[in-house]
Amino acid sequence: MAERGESSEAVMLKKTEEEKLRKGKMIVGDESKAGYEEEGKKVKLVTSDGVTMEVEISIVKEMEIIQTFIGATDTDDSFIFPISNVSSHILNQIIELVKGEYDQELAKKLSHDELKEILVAANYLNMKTLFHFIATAIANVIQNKSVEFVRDFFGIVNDFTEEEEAELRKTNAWAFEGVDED
Amino acid sequence: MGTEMEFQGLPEGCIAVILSRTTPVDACRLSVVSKLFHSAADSDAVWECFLPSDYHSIISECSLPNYPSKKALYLALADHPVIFDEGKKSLQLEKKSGKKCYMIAARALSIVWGDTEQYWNWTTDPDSRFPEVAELIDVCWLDIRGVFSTLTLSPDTLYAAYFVFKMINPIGFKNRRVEVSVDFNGDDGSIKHVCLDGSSSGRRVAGLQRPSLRSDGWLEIEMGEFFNGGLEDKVQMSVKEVKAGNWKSGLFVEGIEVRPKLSLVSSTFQSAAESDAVWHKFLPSDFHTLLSQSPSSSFPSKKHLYIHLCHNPLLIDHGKKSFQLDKVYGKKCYMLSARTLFIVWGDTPRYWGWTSLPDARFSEVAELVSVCWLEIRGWINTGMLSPKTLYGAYLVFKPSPAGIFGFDYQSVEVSVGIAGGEASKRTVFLDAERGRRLRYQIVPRRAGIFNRARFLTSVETPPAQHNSNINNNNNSSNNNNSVDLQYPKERGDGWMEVELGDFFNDGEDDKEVEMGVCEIKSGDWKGGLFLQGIEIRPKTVPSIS
Repeated sequence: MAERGESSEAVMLKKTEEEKLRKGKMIVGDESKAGYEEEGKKVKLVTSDGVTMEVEISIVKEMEIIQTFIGATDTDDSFIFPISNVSSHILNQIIELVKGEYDQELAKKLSHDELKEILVAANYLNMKTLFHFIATAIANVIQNKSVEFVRDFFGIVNDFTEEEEAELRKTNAWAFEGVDED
Repeated sequence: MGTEMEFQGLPEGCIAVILSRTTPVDACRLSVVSKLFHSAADSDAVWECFLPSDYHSIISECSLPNYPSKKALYLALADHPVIFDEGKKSLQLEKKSGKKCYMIAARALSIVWGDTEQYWNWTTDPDSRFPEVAELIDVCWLDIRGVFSTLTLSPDTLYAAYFVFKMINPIGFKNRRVEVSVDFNGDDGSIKHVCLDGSSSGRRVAGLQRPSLRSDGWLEIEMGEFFNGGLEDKVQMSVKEVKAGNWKSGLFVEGIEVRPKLSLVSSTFQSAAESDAVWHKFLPSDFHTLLSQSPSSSFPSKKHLYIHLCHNPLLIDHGKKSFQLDKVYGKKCYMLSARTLFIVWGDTPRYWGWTSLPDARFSEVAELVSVCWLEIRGWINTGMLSPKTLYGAYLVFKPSPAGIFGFDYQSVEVSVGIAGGEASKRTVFLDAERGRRLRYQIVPRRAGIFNRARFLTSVETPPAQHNSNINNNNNSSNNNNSVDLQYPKERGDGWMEVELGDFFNDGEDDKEVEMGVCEIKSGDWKGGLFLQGIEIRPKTVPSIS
């Protein structure tokens, strides 16, 4: 896994160096914190498209799946965690959202596909705050929208029979007034 | 890697989390998406979020039975009011949003003379949700008050209070002003005047709000509103007629209802309210109300909202009025659409038509086909306007393709006046061509243009005589400003406007301003214009040239 990402890693590392430099000025002491919890420290993650990215520990801490892994194994700095369900594009988006302190304004700039992929990633990485944030963003998109819009949004195939659907629409008739146009 | 495959694999719990962040009406509708959505949308996890946070205490206070699911409990609370507090209050959830609505029964209100049999009687009514309603036998001093703690209401919600009543052979209410008020948080509160007798008609009180019929057979009238931020507070509401002091009877009081005003942009404000303290100050204090009336888009910040409101009129009152902010001072501007105006012959298609135009902000504009009797009136309450401000009223119109006729030598009388005061009157011309000719001394239009106006106007008064007429009416010299005021000007939106007059809103109490446009003296035929409405906006300088 690690070998696959070597080439792009160089670029990432360059960025990281610059950030370290900026961070270095800000950090005053706090040496009591041992190991990977150290402020400004990076953890290497390799994404589904084979990119190795160094991600700040503060962000990785929100990824409970990796925390479990760190807890379970004796790791050092060189360890690279594979996150095979998340692309580098989506991981970058996630980093932006976490750094932006989960501002719903940022979510408005995301495409429907990005919203869905971030939801899947948040679920997989077990990032609770991100998951609730993105669930709210998706809820904002599907509010007051038609059933057809939501099927299309999630790529869901209707598994009701015609009779079942008609019956459900009848019982919930009050909920079908004044729906937005798709 | 197929995202959709992964997405389909999302557990029901994830879908439930998303649905719990929508609204009850969304969850019900989206249960039709698929079997997985159906199961998620009916789950207790979702409906627990839609129930009021204190639903456990509601269950015990209202002695509710056990419902098989949280959704069933929600629907039970939404479909019918539950009565509690020994028949003195009711609670219901607004079905689409799940927000709480309360009604305080007449028995829980304080009614002056309410315990004196010769004035008030306590009776039952088959239409009432409560065991008792109050029947007004006869009083001069009508004074009903209610107090409600906002802590039990849904937070971050704009609420309004409604007086719920009936009239059976009413005496003493016809065309009478009754004062209603909502006082929140010890603020001065809003006081407004309404007419409780919906049957009465007539232009004298045309601007007074009248009751509307509820689905439960009672009448209601809005008393005022308040934004419940979720802190503990008391809201005081009152219905009073103690000034005229005439005898009144035939009123049946069910109670006062406190329910959310449906807001399509409420979620915007929940987030905006956190950070935009500065821009908040620039917005009118009742901007929540104004926005709640309009299905507007959402704004990322109050600054955006402010700027948006400066440049884009917001349609309110079911699209019959528009609201806008003055760019410089943030003061409130309104336009009353032609539909809200009183237009003599307005419903007779021979004289006035109704149509829609792409450059109008309202869905309908009035088309003056042809009339002899031109009379247009509009009313606005000063309580809606920014205080301590000089306002001008402007008729917004433009010639129809048929061509304006009958107005070139015929002035119209325009007036603006605060009720109880004297109306200022002046004379204006609606034909812009005429104004241009007069100002720049251009000779009349080319003879080749067949002018219907001149064809139809039987008597043409020489222009010179009209000039003296203008001067008499305005008590002003023939300077450029007065001439400018008398002729229509082009607006930025492709329409024309002419000033009807101005008034100073001291902001002290709610008064009614009447604005009028009249030409009934000559009795000649005139027409050929579209009327969009009357705009009321602050005047920064006495005359804009």
